[in-house]
Amino acid sequence: MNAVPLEITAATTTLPREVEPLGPDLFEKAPALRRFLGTRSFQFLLIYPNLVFFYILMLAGIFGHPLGNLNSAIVLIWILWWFLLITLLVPIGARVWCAICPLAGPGEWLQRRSIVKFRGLDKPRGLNKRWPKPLRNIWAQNFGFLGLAVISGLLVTRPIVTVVVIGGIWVFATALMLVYRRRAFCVYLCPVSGFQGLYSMVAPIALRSKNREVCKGHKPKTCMIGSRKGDDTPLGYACPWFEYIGDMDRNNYCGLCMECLKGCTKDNIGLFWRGGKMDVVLHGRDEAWKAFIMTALAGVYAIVLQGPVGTLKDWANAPSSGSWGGFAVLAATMFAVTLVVLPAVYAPFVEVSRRATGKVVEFRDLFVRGAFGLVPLGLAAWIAFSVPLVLINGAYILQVISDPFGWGWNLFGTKYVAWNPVGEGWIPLIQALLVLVGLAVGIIKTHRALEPMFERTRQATRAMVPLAGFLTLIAVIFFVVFLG
Amino acid sequence: MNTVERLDRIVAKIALPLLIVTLVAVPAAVFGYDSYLQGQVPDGAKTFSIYFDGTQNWSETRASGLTTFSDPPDLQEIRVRKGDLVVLRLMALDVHHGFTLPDFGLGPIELTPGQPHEIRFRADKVGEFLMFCTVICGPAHANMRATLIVTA
Repeated sequence: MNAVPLEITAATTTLPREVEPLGPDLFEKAPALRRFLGTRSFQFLLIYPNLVFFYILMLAGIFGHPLGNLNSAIVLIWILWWFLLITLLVPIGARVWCAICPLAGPGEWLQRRSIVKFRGLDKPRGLNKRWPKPLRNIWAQNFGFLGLAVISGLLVTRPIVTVVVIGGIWVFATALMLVYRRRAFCVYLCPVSGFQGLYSMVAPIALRSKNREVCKGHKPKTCMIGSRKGDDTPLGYACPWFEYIGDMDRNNYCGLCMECLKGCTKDNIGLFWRGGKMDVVLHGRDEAWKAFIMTALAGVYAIVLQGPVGTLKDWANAPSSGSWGGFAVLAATMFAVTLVVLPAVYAPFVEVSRRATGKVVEFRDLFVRGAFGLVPLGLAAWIAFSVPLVLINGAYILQVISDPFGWGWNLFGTKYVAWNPVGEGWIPLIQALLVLVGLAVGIIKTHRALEPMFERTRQATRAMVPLAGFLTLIAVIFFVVFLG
Repeated sequence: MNTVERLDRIVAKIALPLLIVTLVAVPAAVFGYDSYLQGQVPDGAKTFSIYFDGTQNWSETRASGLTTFSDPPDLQEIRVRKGDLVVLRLMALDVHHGFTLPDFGLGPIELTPGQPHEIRFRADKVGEFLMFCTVICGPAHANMRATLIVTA
């Protein structure tokens, strides 16, 4: 089958107005990559080492030293993994972590009755139920992430708490996959999945159909409903993420598992590198609130975990300090700031924006669309929060690599590397620069998100001004937090 | 059969056995290696790793891998029998600390953060002996004392 020529792709001809153009197709440039990602075994080959790695970390969490900085379950997950996820994997690779996530792999294998081989889904293991309609949104993810945020003081310091939470997610995900079809857990419940979906909007990588018309004309829709056993090759399962690549125009819910690529009989799927272009449209209040939650939590985390106020740390670490009252105050504050305060501060800016453009758009539509600015800004704030984790605590990573259990091993001779913070003087500057970049991108891209709502670009610009004011206000707060 | 199909076929065959072997081999390797390291310590030696943290307290874990889960980790005493060879592995976690066990003529030893210090001695007398931090190190300094209890 010949590839669809790029000249007539959807990327340049038939995309909706709010979708930014896609760049070159990496599969065209590197056919070996296309071949590898199209194999049934590629996902297992990536999940397996990850699974071994997390298995060791879980053992370390259970049997290793209870002090966090001596235990790889804490250091390699909450410092190294988190840093890599938020600074590299999501901003560049979108949901690539989901493709190699060890927590969902076993459940999916059980569901399919196969690890690698295609068996079809005519008789999947488990109940194969549909996910309940009222829960087909990311509110559960929002509250799940907030719940984890509330106990983060324990989660990131106590290995056994990390084991309980991650092991719990592992068991729960596996059990749920035997009840509900495909990756319902990942799409609707996984707390890590939620923010990855949000921030993968800015990633330069985008898996899309090359030509939407080809997809529209392809009646069997194998990418959506899966191949049938006995079909001619290629064989692929129905999209585990419930997406239809034919009209998919955002990264949010694409787990990059490449099932569509495996099952596409039209060779109509490309992996595009779109550079600075991104998905700019939020759909629904659940996604807008995800942006509020993530942005606000970046600030709260920076203040509580990296700030100079010891009392707040005591509140976050109530089991040690005994400050249960403080813990309750902190938890209530987290919920209030993320769910109520930030949206309440944002709302008047939206109303001013709406009035400035003659009320030609609905408040609710503008409220959701305009919140996109918080995506690049919030991501920048999270990266700013995460940079010091590695610069300050990098020595711990080297130490636990040699002694993952804190038992006195010295596998690679780095056990006794002295704790030596790097670039202390530069950290606030780096953080300020990141926030500045996030602000600039946030303003530019919010304008891009608003454009399709209005007839003229000038109206979008006018609507943008108050929202730019709001983003600037949030950026100033981050400056104070990071520099103050 | 092309390379891709060959790869898929091989991986499909080994995937499940590989997972099962991994499930067993990883803990076996971890605990086996730790047992091997314990074998490096003289036969019958009682080994303790002691971590110094001036903001909390000092904590103790047996080098055999059995960890304490007290909260916060808190060393009160170490119990050995008369005649035991005792190995103390000392490590400061945060700031400079000191260690002494005066009744056995040990220390004061200055402990630099991240630098391990191992001392070995024979518990050749019965009794209760105080060991403590010798550097005013942090809010928990006054609590950084424990007892070596040597029984007959």
